[in-house]
Amino acid sequence: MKGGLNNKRKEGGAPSNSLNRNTSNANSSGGFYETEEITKGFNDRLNYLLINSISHDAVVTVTSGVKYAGLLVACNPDSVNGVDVVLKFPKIIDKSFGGEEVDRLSDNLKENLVIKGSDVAELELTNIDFSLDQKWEKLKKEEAQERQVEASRASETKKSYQFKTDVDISGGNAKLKERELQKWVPDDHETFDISDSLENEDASWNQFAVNEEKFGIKSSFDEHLYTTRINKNDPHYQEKLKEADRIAKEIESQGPTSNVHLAEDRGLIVDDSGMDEEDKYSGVDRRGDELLAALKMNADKNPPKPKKYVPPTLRNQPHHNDPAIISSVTAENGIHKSERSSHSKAHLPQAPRKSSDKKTHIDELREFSEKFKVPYEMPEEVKTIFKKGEGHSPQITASSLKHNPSLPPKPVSQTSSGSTSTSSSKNTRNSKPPTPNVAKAELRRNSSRMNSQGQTPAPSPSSNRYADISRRRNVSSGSFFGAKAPPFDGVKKDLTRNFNVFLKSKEAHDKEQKAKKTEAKTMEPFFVGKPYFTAPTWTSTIEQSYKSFFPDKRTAIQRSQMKIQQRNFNAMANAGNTHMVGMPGMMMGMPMGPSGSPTPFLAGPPSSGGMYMPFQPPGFYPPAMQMMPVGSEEMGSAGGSPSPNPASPHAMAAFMNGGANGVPMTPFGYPGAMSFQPMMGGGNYRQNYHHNNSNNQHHNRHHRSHDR
Amino acid sequence: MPVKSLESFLFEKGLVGSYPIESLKNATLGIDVDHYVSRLLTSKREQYLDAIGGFPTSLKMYLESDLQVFKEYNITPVFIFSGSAVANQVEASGHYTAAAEEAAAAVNASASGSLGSSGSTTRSVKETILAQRHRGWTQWNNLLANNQSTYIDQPIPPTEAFRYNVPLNTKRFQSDLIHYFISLGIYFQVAPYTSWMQLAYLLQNSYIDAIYGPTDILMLDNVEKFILGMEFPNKEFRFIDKARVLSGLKCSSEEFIDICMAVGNDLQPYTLSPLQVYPPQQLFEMALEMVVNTGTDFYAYQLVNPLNIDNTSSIARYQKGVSALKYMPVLKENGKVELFGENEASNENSKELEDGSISSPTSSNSSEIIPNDVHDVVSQRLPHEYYFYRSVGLISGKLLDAIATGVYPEEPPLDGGSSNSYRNLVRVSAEMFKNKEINLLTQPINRYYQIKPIAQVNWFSPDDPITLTNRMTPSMFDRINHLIVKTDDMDRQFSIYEFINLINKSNNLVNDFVSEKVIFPNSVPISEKLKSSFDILSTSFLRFLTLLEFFEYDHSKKILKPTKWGKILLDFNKLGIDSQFQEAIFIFMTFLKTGVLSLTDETQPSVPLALSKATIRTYPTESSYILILTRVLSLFRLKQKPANYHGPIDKKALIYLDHLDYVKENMNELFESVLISSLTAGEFDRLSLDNIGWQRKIVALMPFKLSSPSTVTSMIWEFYLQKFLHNGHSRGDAMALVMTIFNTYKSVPNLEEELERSLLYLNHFALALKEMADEGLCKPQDYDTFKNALFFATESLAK
Repeated sequence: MKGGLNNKRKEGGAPSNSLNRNTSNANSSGGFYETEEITKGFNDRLNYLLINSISHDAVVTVTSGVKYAGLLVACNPDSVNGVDVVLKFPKIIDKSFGGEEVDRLSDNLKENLVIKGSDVAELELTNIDFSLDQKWEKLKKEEAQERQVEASRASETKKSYQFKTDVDISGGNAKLKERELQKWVPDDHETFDISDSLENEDASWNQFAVNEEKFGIKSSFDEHLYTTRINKNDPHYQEKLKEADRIAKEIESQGPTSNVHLAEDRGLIVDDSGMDEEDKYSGVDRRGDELLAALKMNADKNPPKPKKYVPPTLRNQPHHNDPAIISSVTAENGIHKSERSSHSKAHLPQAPRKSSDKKTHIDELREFSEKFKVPYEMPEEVKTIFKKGEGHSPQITASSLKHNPSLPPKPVSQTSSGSTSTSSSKNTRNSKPPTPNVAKAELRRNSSRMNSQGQTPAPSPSSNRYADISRRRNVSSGSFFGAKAPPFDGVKKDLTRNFNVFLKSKEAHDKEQKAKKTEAKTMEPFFVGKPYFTAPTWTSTIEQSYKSFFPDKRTAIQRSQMKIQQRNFNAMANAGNTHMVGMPGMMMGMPMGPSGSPTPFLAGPPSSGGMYMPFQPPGFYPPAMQMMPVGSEEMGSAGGSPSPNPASPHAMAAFMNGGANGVPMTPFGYPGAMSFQPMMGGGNYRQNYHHNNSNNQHHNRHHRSHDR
Repeated sequence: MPVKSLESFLFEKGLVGSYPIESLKNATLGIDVDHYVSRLLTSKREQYLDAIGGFPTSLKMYLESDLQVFKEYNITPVFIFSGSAVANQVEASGHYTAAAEEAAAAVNASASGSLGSSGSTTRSVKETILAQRHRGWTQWNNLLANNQSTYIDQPIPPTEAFRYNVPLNTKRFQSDLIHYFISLGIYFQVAPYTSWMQLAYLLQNSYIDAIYGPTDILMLDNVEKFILGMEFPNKEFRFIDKARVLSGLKCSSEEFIDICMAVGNDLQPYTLSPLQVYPPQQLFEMALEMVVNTGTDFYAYQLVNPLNIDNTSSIARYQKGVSALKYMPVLKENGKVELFGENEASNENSKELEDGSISSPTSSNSSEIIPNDVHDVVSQRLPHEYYFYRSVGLISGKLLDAIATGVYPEEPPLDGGSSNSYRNLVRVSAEMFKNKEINLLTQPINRYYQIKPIAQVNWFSPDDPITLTNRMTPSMFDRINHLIVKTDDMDRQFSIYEFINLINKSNNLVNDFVSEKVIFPNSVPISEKLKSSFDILSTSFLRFLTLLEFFEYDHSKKILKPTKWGKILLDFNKLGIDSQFQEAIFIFMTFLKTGVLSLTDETQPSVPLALSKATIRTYPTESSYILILTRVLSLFRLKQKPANYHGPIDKKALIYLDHLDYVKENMNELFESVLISSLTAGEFDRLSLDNIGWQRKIVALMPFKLSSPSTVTSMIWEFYLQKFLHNGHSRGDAMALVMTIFNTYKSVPNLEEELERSLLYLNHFALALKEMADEGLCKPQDYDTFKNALFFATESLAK
């Protein structure tokens, strides 16, 4: 105990001010950093004990062996040697050591006895109540300073056992007074626009700077009050820092999340129309619920359907079948071309669908233009635009109309399109011309969605990689069908006559006959085809078994080996490794790992199983991988291979993706084996690599057709 | 079966999005029935269904409310049932052994004591079902034994569920659902194979706007997003966006398929090594972890690790799974069943071409190469016409599977099928039904099937299959094709009642119903062929009765007359037997005709009735009455409200019901076969009906389609009478008891009325039974006992 006390005092902080002491600790106890926390903990506990024990019975044994009992009035844990103690009404209870001298001492005792810290051998405190709550503790302390001296022991005990109301505690004999309420009137110079909101402030806002400038307040903010102290003396500190950086980058490179609030914090522009403050800043994301329940139900296949709270704005979800929105999208295509083109690669496989989308857009536009009527009196310039546009395609007309902000808001029809309902609600708040706003929102939404879709399946092999998968909003805004929502009473394809083998073959027959008729041939009656014409096998195009499309053992292993490498490259890339420049080199370096064989897996007996990786616990990388940084460094410096901008995470991701998918492209006798040849020149490889990079993205979607 | 553990994983990772149902407004929604039903009947629902048999009534309740929501939003549902199983699925369902191993496993599981849940990863769904049923019955037997001393007239509800964490097999009540959909005018289709593939095809060709289906759809390239679940209470649905999922999981589409094949999915239901060691809930997560962190390729793993003995099969399973995904046949809009990717070479009109050039490059690219042994991956190919009949629900498909796979599996019934009489019945059925069916169905199709060996494999002796004869001379169809009913009455609806009327009106059966010449050749003008649905169904029914020996028929000797059995059947109307009971009593007659178990005989080994020991000891005669009543009432269709059943169960009643159900199913299959043989031969004008027409005019009117009723009526009477005996013949007390234990205020609101109706049924049954006793077709004492029992029942209700 003593040791602890002394130690604490050396650091010289006041016990109640943990803040100051904390900061000083960080520097002073360099050599002792392991026990520092513990020391502090003990100090705190001692302080707590002492504070609590004031006004309680205490027994002090001094160095001479005499024991004094009395009421503990005060103590000073900050004295140089131990704790100074002041006892009230002291008396000697054990005189076994002192003899007659003790009697003399007891005669001399006054009301208060001060015992120096250096004389205290033992301090025994009894009947301490620790259950007192901190707040009460504080109050008591404040009161104690004023009143304790006069307070009699009896009243003290009585008080501690009585139930206290808030009024008692706050010492309130004072009667409660009600103040008269006054209406708040803004000062003259204070004018507020109703539509003003915090979000509209564009300039950056530094509250600390403003505070200091305006009021001269300097922040005493200390982050260690709120977060874990980072031990910078840790021998592994640098590594940990790197790892943390890597994770941070990974998270930041995720692109926009669905968490609007988060995105806003990160300075991203997201589409937040259709969301109210509650959704953005306050609402609880409830998506985890069903999972938790599912887990509880022992992996019940059917996620339970909890009755969930749906915020009012979301109950009436918008969807974009409003042709107005679409029109502006198409019209502004040019502006956002750059944005699109950056994603076009990833989208290429979907291109046919895209064009059909466009087609439906145009169709809808056409339909829209036919139905569209300007409900109010048209401003002159609009009329001219309208007239001008008449000769042209309806698309231009519609879009140019949309871009004129002077247009009155379009009347909202609830039934026809839901999206207008949100836009209108936003309009009233912003009191801005509605349509351009919506259009912008729509564009942004589109682009952000494209981002998330076009995101390459970027690699992230860290063991905790799931943590960064963004959690989506409970109910997405927008429409499930996008722009091609099924029209009301739209013509549906006929399910009753199609899929009927008799009717359809009759149709086919009739058509054929028609064709023949024109050639003046005789009509043949139609007969339903006899079922025995169908062979028990399915029509095939080649004389090969389906099994032949699967790679043989060797190829499969090579392929999977490639995959391991690529996955591990990804790991390295994501770690923010500065050696990435040597990427192609690494490719080369890797097989030169411990085994020294170009194909380490084949080198060992295949049946051993140990040579193959999958039983490795997640997060464990094959030993060969640990060689990689070394190898890459060598190769990188030696070859100085100019890999394309390794600092850009996007480029890296693209490369990774290309690589990962590139493997299956050439299934038979995959030339990838080539790249394992340690003898091969780096230049060759680089060509190969570039080739992959440019081609693979196009083939991402198709590779299944080639691989097996 | 969806991709194992994937769904919960996606939810966990927040990769499932939500939209309000409103955004589906005006859409046509394609629904995978298996997936949908598994959503509705979660494991907590209908837990005692397997102990009482019948259709899960609560399913209708959920369906109704969902359909209401669809209507509200003008959403057109299109329900797609799954069809035949592909090779992997067939193997996993224990098809070739009729689940014998599984039955053994079930016994072992219970023998080894408590839950065998540790090995549940490797167990197939069917094994789990059988094991759980077995456990349920074991618990129930123990419960009965333990309560012997205390149980007098308050039946004990069972403690152990009969279904646990496994989806209900939709096939069992597919016909009921089809019937329901037809009655509501909702479009449905039975896919030739995998239902979600069919949905993908429908989506690709714009027949539907969205898919509501299982996670397996993620393996498909041409479906961008689909609906995983509907939350009707808060008007939301959950959907999955493929691109988002793949980027979220950070794996390529190819790797994703690799993972799916390893963890087990619909097309490859096994969990492959090394994943079996992980808990089933985490399978996908572990597999993904392996792929992302260490680049595992599971196919390579199968090749490299031939440690386990059945490794070759795991490679084969993997290959078949992937190939099935690539070469899956679907029913195309031209009515033909072709591989999904295969180009529709025939009749592509200009419009289709336009669409095709835009939307189908992926499919045509990917599948231009089709290997020559797809039949090993999927199953052997049947004629388009058969697939069409299945798609409209005309044939239930077990026979088609038997022809395609060469195995007709006989799986244990709900009670476990340990009774000798049931096994006898199974053996008898080969000669009585299956030979005829196989012959009828293989005769019109490719010659290969006529010589292909097809065997009935029984679960109780899987090593000793009964070979079915598909060749006979003259063929079955040749024997009956002169029997023709031709009225040309387009409005008449077929029913047994109408059929009997028709036959009875005839003075000379041979003149009226035996045609001199056959009408199937193409040379016969269409006017001489069958036109109305009544004619085709009646013709089939007459032929069906002939095959069941209710009629004696010899074309050469110009003989067509009813046998003793047939006479009784023809007397149904005269006896005043209500048309609603005729099918049930007909099934009963056919069952008695097999002679495997009479009305009063004990099953061997015997199973105690759910009556209390006190009842059996004090009232032995009445107990035997109760027994016979429960048996006869097995086929009474109670008018029930949809409800989850929680109440007493009775194994003995169920065993008897299983017998009857088995006979009914065989009758159904025989009738389907006769009908199809007639249709494929060309005796009916097949061009006169569109799909809806086929469904409403043919399928909806076919007899024996609906699944058998449950044992609830039997038990209501059983416990009613037991209470009646013990409480001094107090009708009120007995009624009150039945009211409470069957929760009837909810499920059977007008109990008294139903009791009266069932009494009427018993009376009508007595009429038929008397005829049979008079003709010597059943034991005279059976009739006497039943007569007394009926008197006893009538008395009890009258007081």
